[in-house]
Amino acid sequence: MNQRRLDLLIVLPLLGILALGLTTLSSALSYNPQKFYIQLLWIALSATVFLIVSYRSRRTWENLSIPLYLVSLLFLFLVLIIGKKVGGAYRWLDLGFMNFQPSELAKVALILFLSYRLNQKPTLQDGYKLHDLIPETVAVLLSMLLVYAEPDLGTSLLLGAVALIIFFSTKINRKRLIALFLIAVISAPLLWEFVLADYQKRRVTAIVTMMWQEGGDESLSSQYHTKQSIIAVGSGQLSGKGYNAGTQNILRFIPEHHTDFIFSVYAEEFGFSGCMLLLGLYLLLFYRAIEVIPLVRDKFMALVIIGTVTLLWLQVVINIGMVTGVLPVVGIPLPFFSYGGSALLANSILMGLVHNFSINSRYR
Amino acid sequence: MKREKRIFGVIAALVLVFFLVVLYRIYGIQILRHEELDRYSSASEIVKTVKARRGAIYDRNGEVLAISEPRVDLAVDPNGIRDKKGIAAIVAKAAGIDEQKVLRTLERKGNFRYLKKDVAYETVRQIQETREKALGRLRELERRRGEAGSDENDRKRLAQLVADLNYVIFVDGFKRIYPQGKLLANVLGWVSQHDGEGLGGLEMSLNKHLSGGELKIRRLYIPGSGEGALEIDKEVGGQQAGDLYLTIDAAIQAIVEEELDRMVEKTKAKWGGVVVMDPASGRLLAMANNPSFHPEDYRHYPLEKRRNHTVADLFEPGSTMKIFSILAAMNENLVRPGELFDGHHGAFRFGGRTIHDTHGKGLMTLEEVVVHSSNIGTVQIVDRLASEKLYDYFGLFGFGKRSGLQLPGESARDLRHYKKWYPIDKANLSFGQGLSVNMVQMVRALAVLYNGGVLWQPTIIDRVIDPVGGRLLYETVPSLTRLEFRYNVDKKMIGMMDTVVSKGTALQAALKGVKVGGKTGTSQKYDPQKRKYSWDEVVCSFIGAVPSDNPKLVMMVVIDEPQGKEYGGTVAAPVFREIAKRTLPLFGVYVEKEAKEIAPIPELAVEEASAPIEGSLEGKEATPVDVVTVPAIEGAAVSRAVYTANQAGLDVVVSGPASGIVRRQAPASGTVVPYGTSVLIESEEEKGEAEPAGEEE
Repeated sequence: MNQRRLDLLIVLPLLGILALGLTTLSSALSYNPQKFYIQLLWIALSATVFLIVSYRSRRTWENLSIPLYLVSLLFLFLVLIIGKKVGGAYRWLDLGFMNFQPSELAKVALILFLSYRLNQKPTLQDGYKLHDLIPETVAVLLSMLLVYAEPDLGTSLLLGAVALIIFFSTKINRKRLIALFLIAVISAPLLWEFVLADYQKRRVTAIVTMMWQEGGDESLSSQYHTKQSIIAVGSGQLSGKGYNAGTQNILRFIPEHHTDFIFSVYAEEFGFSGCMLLLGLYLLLFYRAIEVIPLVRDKFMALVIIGTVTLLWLQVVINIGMVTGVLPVVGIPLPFFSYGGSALLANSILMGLVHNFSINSRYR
Repeated sequence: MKREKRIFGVIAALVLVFFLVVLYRIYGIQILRHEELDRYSSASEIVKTVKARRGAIYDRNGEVLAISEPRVDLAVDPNGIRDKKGIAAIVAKAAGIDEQKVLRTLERKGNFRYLKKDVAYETVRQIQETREKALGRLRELERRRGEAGSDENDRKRLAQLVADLNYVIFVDGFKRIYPQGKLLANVLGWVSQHDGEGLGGLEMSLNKHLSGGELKIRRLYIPGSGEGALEIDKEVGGQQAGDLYLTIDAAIQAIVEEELDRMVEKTKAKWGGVVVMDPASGRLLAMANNPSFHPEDYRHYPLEKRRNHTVADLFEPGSTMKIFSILAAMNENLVRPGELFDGHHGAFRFGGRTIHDTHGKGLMTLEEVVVHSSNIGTVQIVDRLASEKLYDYFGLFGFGKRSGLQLPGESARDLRHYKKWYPIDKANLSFGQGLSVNMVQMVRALAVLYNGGVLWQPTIIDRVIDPVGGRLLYETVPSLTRLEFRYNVDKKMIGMMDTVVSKGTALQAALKGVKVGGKTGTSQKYDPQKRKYSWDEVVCSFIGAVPSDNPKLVMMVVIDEPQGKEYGGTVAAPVFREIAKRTLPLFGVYVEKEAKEIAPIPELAVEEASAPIEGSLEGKEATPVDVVTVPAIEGAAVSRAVYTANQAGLDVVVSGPASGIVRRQAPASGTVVPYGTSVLIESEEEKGEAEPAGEEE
């Protein structure tokens, strides 16, 4: 039962992604080696956390889920009050020795909280009715609202999407679901008309227009970031320009090129073959995680895996979609690849859990 | 649990589908659109190395005195052009120059020849447009190549034209503009029209700060997109040029030049100069010369007109020196209050020579000695002072020391050491003969009297500033030495100098409602041929301060060799008055309007006019001040010329390459100047530069 083993098909892809990420970062941060060393420290910390999480009993995480959720809410509150303003948004808590992003903690906490709560409920023949899920829904909305207030619409919607997938993974009464959907459709225009303020409407229309425009092939004519990043990706061709040879990166044309736009640097330097390799590693990782779902013993484990995979997979798709100009620019980093400590730590905790469940289910 | 297990397939499918979508998108960009996008990426930056724009020169209020603006020079590569006639026609028409002239340039050998400097934007546009049009038609012809009706000869002709036009070169550079024209020209100097380096005045002495280095400019743009630059041209390396701020006040300078010009023209003098200083800080507020020149057009002015006489010319100060020698004796308490001095009725034997006075008085008070500028009285007073003391005092007033202004070619002569003085020398020096000074030294010394004993190092450069970062690149740190006045002797001397203006030789310097103090000087020039002081050539000067009870300005006016019988009091003092009258309101000092022009009191005017020039010594062998005759150095190599001039006892300022030959010199050969005067020479490389064919010289 307590065989201390590694699931190499989870650990190796992870290490592969990290290695590619570090290589790209060393190129993107060649003018600022200090940041690169900080990232190395974060990786060391995250690896330790990953191993600890992998070999702790799942019971620990069940017990921690509710306190962790409350702590995450507290932090989300705090960041609104004493947060550090970066680029017009309060997303960072300055802990003195490091900057911490509470919205990353919120992702971990919400997945654990929902999985724990749904596992506690008895499985019903007809599935859950909506009022059975009121506390969970409130919890999700609370997290989303606080993140939205930072403001960080991208992460807020991401939380919502992950929660929805988790809800749908359990059994919900189909009639109620349809009813809910209808209510939503009917109430949307009313909400638009009476609840939303003008600036909020503008924001929504802006996003919609942006999505519509970016989706087309005329992406070169719109935003500067996207334009530059498409040029970078496009100039990579099949084999790429080679390590540290990407001109777009060296010239620092691309803003945020070590965080949200790191993929454009990678694509320029390693080309289409490099992109296939990276996406292959992600796919292998996610498949190996999903594979565990039929093997696990309870809903908690299954939902944590579903939540984790959904979260990571959505981030990959949104990030690359943003870099290649299919989606609007929202601040979603590439998991295990972009520069940034909080996200790496949060993702490591989640993958640690998946790894934990994987070795415990496979090698039982 | 069942449902959670079934979800496995759904999620796996979702992940796979979305990943494929993303991969397809990447494939589209990286493989299908690669060529189009790579064109953008590879050519999206240009780093040009350009010469930094020369720094501007400002007056103390930020008024622009000199500034550089971009210009384009038109040049050709004659070796590259095959259809010389055709290109000559196009270029000549666009640039508005003679076609034959262009053709001649094109037929010469070489791969770079200037056609015209500083061409209009329109010229550049026309030539580029001609090329664009030809290129457009050429492309069209190439598309239809081989089709029926396409003319192969036409295509070849166009290809030739496009290729030839590639050898018409536009050289980016800067032109120096002096928005105030001749204002301050002799101080500012000029820059080479060839390479933009400073060749005279401040432009030369501060060339290092003004010219800056090579700049790397980065321009980011997407070629062919028609979007222009994505980023404003950004400096990514190199040294930026500095902007120069002077202590000169352009408003005062303009008034000074106007008044000086008027007097020099009226008296047909050889030259005139004015130096104005703020006695409280040693800052120069104006420095004017006549004749002057227009710096943008410097080639059309003889070198003599470009000299800055106020620092480059040495002269014997004459009577004005009495202020300082008498002050020294007073400060040593060697003059008793109410003491009377014997004027010996105009002739006094001293040290084996006879010293003359113009007025031949009997007994005089100290004030009368000063007001009547009595040589005999001065000699008797100063004789009480040890030679060593007089030498020290002269040092404290700055005589024998360079002013330290960063202007090229300051002439200054060391004071002969007191141990080498003959008895007559002390007498001679006491009334300003046997030593040579420049105007800035005189003004500086007068400021010592009016500011309570501070000898400033005069400043004309306030600061040099990096125009981009605002960083201070250079700053003049004022330095000073102090002379302590005892027994209020400075106040007494100031009072006596007020009397000189109100009752003495400088009546024409008086203003209504404002106290003026000053002293006139009229020095004969020594003629080495005749071995005596000449009557025909005099230097008329006036030094003064205004208002003398709270001085805002100390000023020296020199009018050299005015026509007719003129004196310091008749030509220099009126210039001082007019300048003071017009500039004092700028300092908030009220000057009463005069009901009528001050008429010189006839009696005094006659007295001065009839009087012989002060301080002439009897004795054929008199050598009051060393003078030298400027040798002919035009046409010699620069190093040879410098050696020759130095041997003759002259300093040299070289304007132009040190390896070249001397084209012009100022002063001209044969001129007699005091020992230590600096000669300005203009040099050129031995092989003449490729001069633009279209430029008139």
